[in-house]
Amino acid sequence: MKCKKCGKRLGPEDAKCRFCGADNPFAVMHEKNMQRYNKRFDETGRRVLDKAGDSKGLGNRAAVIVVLILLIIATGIITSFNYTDHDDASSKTKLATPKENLTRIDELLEQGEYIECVRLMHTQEIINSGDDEYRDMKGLIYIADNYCDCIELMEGIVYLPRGEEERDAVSSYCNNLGIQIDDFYEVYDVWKDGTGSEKYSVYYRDIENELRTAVKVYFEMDDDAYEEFLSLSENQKAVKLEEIINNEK
Amino acid sequence: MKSNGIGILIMNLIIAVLVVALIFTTVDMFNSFGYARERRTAAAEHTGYDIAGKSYEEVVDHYNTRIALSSNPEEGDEDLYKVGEYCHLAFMSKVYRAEGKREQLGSCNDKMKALEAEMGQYSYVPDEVLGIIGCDPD
Repeated sequence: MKCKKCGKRLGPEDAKCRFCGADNPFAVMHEKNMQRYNKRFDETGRRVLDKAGDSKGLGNRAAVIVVLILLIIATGIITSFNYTDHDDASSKTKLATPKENLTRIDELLEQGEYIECVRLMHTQEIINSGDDEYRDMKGLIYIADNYCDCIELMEGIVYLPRGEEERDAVSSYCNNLGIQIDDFYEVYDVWKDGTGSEKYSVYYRDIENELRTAVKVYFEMDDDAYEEFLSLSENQKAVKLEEIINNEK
Repeated sequence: MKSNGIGILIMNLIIAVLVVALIFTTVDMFNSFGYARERRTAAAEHTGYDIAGKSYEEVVDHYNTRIALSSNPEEGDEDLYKVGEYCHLAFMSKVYRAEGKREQLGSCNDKMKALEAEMGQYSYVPDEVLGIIGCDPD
């Protein structure tokens, strides 16, 4: 720009002309503009810094969240490891192949060793196995397992001492046996017609016969009494069994 | 900025929840160390199930539970398996006799005889068990 008085060149920051001393009106405007710009610059700078600060806060928090999640996962893994059973393998039965198990099961079934068969199914983890090789055995598994539970309960009742102190235990056993017998026949009625496998259905009737005989032998029932017993409700069965046991004394 | 403030608030809430969860999982972890230590101690001190003074019902119940887990007795459980199996065989022998299943009955009796020979200090068990079952040994 030029001085209005002498026409010499001036800079915007020159408040007066260096040559003639006249006032430079542009300098005042320039100064105001500079102040405004500086103010805006500072504000912008502050906003930028605030924004950066906020983002930094979010970033820090995100990092804390990730660390906390990792710690939770780590403690969970350690906890589950500690609660997992790491029993010595030598005390557990070694798992055989499905083919070996099926062969052994066939042998036991032919010998009529149904309890042994169920024990094998438990120790070889066949009971809850989803393996295709055992698909045909579903009916057998359900019926034989329920039969085994009935026998174990009856064994408990038979071997329970007959004293006043055992009354509650007798009652509890009879209750459970009533329920278990019902469960057995519920499953038996579903599978008895050979649904799923004819190979194993030939044993269902024999298993039912064995259970029937066991109840008749140990609870002194004949065929009619047994049929009548089966028609009772779970609770009535329990009462009937307890009655028979109490009459033994 | 308003959105940042909301974001920070949400993150603070998430952090608070995670801290509480971490406290619970940490306490559970320390409990699990105690559990593992107890189990190791119990395994090291395992002396087997003592059947002396137990009723046959208790023995049979314990035996049925154990044999469902493993057909091999743990160290110290040999007597439990012998007596438990004898009780079971005696029970089933009466059923087989009533059904007329000679083969199963024969097999049962053979196993019972073999166990009688191994009873050792529990040699009184066969007579007592057969007395409870109410059948004569073959």
